[in-house]
Amino acid sequence: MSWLGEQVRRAGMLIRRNRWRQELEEEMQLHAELRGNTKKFGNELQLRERSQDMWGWRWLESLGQDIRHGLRLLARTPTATALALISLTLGIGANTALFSLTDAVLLRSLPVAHPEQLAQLYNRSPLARRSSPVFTNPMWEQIRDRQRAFTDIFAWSAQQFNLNEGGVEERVSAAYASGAYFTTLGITPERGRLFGPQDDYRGCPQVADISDALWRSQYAASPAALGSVLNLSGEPFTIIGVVPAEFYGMEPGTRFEVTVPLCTQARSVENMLDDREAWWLNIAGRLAPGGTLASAQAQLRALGPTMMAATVPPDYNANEKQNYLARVVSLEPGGNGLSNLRRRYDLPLQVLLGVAALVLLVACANLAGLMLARAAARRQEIAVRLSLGASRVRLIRQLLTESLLLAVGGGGLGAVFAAWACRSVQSFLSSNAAAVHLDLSLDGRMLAFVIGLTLLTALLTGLAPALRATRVSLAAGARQETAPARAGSRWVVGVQLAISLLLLTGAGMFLRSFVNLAGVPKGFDPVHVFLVNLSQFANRPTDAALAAGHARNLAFLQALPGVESASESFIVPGSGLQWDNTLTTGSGKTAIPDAYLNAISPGYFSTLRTPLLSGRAFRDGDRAGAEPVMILNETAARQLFPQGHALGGTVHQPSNSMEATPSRVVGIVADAKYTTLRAADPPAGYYPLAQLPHQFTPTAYELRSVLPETALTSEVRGAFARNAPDASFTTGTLENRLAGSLKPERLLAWLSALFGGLALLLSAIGLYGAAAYEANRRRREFGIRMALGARPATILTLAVRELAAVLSVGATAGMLAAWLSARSLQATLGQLLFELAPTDLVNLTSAAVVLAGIALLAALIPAHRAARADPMLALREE
Amino acid sequence: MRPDEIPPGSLALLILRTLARGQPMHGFEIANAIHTLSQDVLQVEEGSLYPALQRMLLKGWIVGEWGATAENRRARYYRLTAAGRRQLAAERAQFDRVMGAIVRVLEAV
Repeated sequence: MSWLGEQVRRAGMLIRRNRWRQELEEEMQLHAELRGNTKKFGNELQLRERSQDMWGWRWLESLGQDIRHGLRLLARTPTATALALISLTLGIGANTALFSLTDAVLLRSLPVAHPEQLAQLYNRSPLARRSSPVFTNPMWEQIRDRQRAFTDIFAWSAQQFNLNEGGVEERVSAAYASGAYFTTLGITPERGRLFGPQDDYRGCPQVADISDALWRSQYAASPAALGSVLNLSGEPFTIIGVVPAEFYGMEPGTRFEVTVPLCTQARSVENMLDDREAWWLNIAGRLAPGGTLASAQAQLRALGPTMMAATVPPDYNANEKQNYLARVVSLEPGGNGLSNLRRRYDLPLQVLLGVAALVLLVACANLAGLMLARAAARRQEIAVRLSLGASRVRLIRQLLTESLLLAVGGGGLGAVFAAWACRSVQSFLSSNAAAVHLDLSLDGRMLAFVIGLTLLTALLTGLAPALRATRVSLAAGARQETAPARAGSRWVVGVQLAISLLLLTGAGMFLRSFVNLAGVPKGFDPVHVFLVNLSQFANRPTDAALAAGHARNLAFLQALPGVESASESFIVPGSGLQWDNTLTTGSGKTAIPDAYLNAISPGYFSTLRTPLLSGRAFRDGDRAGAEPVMILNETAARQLFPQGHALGGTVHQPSNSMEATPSRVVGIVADAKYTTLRAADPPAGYYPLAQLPHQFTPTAYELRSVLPETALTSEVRGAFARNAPDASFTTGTLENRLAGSLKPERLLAWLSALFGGLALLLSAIGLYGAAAYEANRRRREFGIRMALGARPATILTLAVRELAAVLSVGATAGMLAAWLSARSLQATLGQLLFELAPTDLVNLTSAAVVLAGIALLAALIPAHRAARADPMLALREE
Repeated sequence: MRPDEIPPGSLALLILRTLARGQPMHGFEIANAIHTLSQDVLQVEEGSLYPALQRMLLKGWIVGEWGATAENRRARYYRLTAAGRRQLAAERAQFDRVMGAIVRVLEAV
């Protein structure tokens, strides 16, 4: 107790130390006067200091001295200090930003009660390579009613709703969720109430809970929002509550702005509640206390056959039924939620985190080199202080304080830089269609990471130079520098070069792979193709009216000034949508088990500039009632008709019950990309939209025009406002759409290039510093040699010889490291690279050449200066 | 005659004892009181007095309050706290024990 009181008083003395000092001075002054003795007694300052020592803050005062001394020294070499600070800022900032992103995307648990108890359900068909997280609603109802493995279980499905009634869409991320969603996750409302099991039944009223963000942006956080009606894709929903801000939903990276009960899906354009072939629901549950994933999984497996038998789609053929019944349900930990972002960025983020760590290492090496040179320059000062009785610990503390100062400065600036970088990456990840919301706030973990990184940096860069610098024999102190000190700084430069080469190789690899991917032949020309995506009409027109409406839309779009050609299609390449089925020849002899299909209007191939190889494109005469026709791509034609008589042959889809007669092949087009640019061109078949039933509603119009996007956008908006004011649509360019699908690759390529360049720059600076130091140290020697007749070339050779050796050792080590890591990470890197082997030698060699070139340049500049110096100046100096 | 230095370690005891008489005193008065009570033998110098006072403040044995002297000068008056009284008793007991032991050693034949 008394100890605690003492510490409190001690702290008080520190906080009000000026007042304490003043009071002490005043009473000592009084004392001296009262004593009436004018003779000065001792050193007054020392007297006061002895009294102040009692406060026990001497160490802090000396730390203050160290800091002030360190700051003065750093200010004396502003360029070196600035360089060190910049490299540390970038190094620490990059690591912090990437850790923060990785944490938000990969590591952090959902912000719900006991996330570790959550498990998510998957199912796997015997044909599939991977388990799928989506189920049909009939399956969900079976599981919900029969399972005993969870105390609570819920289903959800991420959706996008349109808030506008006609015109340009204002899309928001939303979710259908079953009644137990909020209760299972333990979410309490911020306002109003969150829907529960009692709100989720067939024919339920349409209610919605909205996010805190939407409540603030659309309703200015007004309590009147509760009870008001929100229009979601044309359907009225009554707002009943506000979800607290910290709960974004089940999918990190996405924020559900609106959450509505599952049962309300019945009112949307396609009711999927009884659809046994619509796979759209994710399912997760909370394990009973003490229950394990394994035991819950066993219980679910036992349930499987009954559930599957009860939900098998009636129109499946025997084979399909068998596959369906063989589906197996499995469980995975669900505490981190289900993230599309995680699936796409898992590997790139891990790679970048490693890259950033290496960059920090290079920055640290740079700083260590700087501190080493600094300490060497202060050899004399240190020797003098040691001989005057300063303790070695005190000197090491002083030197460490300096690197700590730099590290703290770099850490602070790095945190600011990281906050900026995180925001940039977040907006990079976001697109018009889907904003990415990540919780990137600076929490305790983040802070601990930055502080830890900063201290580690200070220790890495400060300790070795401090230990070395203070290990001076007093007698030798002021004399020559020792050989080991120079070996140390050379070693540092060598390591830097090796790491830089490793990073450069990686950067070259990802850049080249990205260029390969972006430039891969697509089978169509995405430049100058403008897209208009149409969503369903609010007022459910009849099929005939819908078809007529589409034709009208296409007509007025095509008539817009500046539009060369226009078309409509069921699927746009690269949109992620996919329609695939088995195709056979009319005779049924040959088949393509998995052909990719599309339904298009006559102008599609000319608008996308997919070359027609033979036969004809669709024309207006290919309509309902006329002979069914289709067009194959080259691969499909070759696979179905190996003899080469595709034109005029017939093809059909055996599993499509709506297809009455096989279609006649009237044309063959070039192969083209379908879902992703990464996948090989699939065999594909195209049908005329006009000959297909209405569920193949075209979703997109493609316009070819050289007009800039903004001009075309306003033209299209105007046209819709005049001609079809109740249509909802979004616009964009095919080029941007495709670029969006390459975001992980682009992020990886640009960031690794940035980091590689940074590392190269840092090691060039380090090398330059070492070379300048070396040239300076040997100034006198060079002077004598030149005075004795040595030519500048000889001096140049002498000056760079040692560094050239360091360079060759560093580069060799770097190449070895790059090759070995490429070899050992071949499988991982293979997933990230496109048409490039991780161990590509051209890549490795060019990285080495670039590094050697830059490094030689950095070493040659100071050496050149040394060789040009006037020998007499150097000799006179000492 | 030049006054004697105070044996190390016993200054705190003397200050505590002086303040224990009940009257709050400022630094000079404490030094004076010790000087007088010791019949001009012990002289407390500022170089020892004020570090000791600062330390005793920190330990919580004494507290200081600013007041005015007879000549209306500002001065810090110190008085004992309960902890200071306990400390005095403890140091007094220890001093007696040590002093008795020293005396016994010195007077042994």
